[in-house]
Amino acid sequence: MMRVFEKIALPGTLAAALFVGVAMVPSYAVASTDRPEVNAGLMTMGEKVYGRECAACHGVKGEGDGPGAYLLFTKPRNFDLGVYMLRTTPNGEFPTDDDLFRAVTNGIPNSMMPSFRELPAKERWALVEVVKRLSAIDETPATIDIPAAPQVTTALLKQGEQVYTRLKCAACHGAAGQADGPSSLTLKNDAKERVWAADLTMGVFKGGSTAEDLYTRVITGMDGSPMPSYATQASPDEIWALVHYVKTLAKNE
Amino acid sequence: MRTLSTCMALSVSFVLAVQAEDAFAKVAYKEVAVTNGGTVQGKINFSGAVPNQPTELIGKDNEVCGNGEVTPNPVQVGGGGELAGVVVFIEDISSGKAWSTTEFTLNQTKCTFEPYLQVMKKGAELTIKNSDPVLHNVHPYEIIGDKRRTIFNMAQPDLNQVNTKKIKTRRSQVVQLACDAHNWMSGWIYVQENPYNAVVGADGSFSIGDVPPGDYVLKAWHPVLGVQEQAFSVDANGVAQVAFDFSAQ
Repeated sequence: MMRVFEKIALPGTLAAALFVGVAMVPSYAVASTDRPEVNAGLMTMGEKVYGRECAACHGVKGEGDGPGAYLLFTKPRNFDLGVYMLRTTPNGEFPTDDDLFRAVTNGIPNSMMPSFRELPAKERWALVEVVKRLSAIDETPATIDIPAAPQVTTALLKQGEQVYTRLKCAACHGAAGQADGPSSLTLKNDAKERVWAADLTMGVFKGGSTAEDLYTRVITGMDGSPMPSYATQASPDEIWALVHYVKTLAKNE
Repeated sequence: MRTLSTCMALSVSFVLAVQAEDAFAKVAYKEVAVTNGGTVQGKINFSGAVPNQPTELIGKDNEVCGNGEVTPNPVQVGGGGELAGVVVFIEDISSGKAWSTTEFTLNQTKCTFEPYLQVMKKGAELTIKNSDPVLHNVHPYEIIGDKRRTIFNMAQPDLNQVNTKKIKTRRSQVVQLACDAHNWMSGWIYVQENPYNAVVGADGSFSIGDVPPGDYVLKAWHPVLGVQEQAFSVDANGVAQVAFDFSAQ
């Protein structure tokens, strides 16, 4: 019987070995553990864990109205509406199972969603199945294609600044990315809560702060929030230039 | 604590079990030739004091969008009490005429949505143009009771750019259009399976033709004032007259 620290240490070592120096992988991507079989036993486990860990905020029906939700701003995700901010799928589509697993494992920085990394992977996969049922997710959308990243040069960063201007990011994010654009004053999310565009100078991003994470956000948008998709507005090279320019705004790259 | 979490787990099981029974198949609308159809027509009136609708300030991009306050979701009543901005439709009809068009468009001009109100075929594509030299993001929401869910959110930063996107609704027929960059912009789309519908003119009048003879329920929906319904019958090549009277609730 593995002891708790052994359960954490072994997968963690493996994860570290896999992820050191792999440029295309997000900085805290989860180790792709074996998926458990989806059966009645897994669902029962998931319901039990959901009741224990999630329902306090997300509510028993997953409508974001648990007894602890009153303490939180913004309110917890309403799974019943089936709209998700952090996806690797196109705008307006459902998330993948991996997207959900990542959110449960890592939590969402700069939000109220904590990490549940301490739960065994099997329990986190069980939670993914419960959330999928609550959202009536009945299809697996294809993930977006992320082409190879270019080398980061001064010329690329200069191009990125021009793309930032052309796509009019400053309307919400502000000319220097400080979340002070004119439209930032009136933004609301799906739940009609007053929200702000991300302060790009903070260097903390809900979906992760690697270039690939930011690329994904710009292409897929963040459904449920005011952040739109720019999938049809710029070429992959332009988006890479843009996200590397955005990373310089935080000055802690 | 254990009792509470067990109770919550049991509640979640119940919810999941109920959801599995959901969604029975609805019979799809069938397009057939209608040779002896009738017409249902009439007028929408408004009685009583016109409610004051909230206004919003045009707070940015004034050189393009203008100045002052606008009413995003107006209640438009004419001098003779005629109500505009209403969708009239037959909800339950299993077969009938074909849609006359399945091409639907939306324009953003001077920071307003045009048309403000339209009916679209369920699942159809919308061709969207930005006619302004400012960033608009096209953000339709599916309205489900007092909640809303993003259908998609697409940026259009360039003047004269055109994109086509599907309007996918899952549970509701009401879609509200928004622009996060310009918070006063509002528009509506009513989603229908069958083509028996009309957006009333400024004079409050409507006419829907090629209705297969029979008994139906005609509904009238206004984004702010809600929905009303009236039963009617139409004979072969006949005309049925239906009037609706809205008032502030």
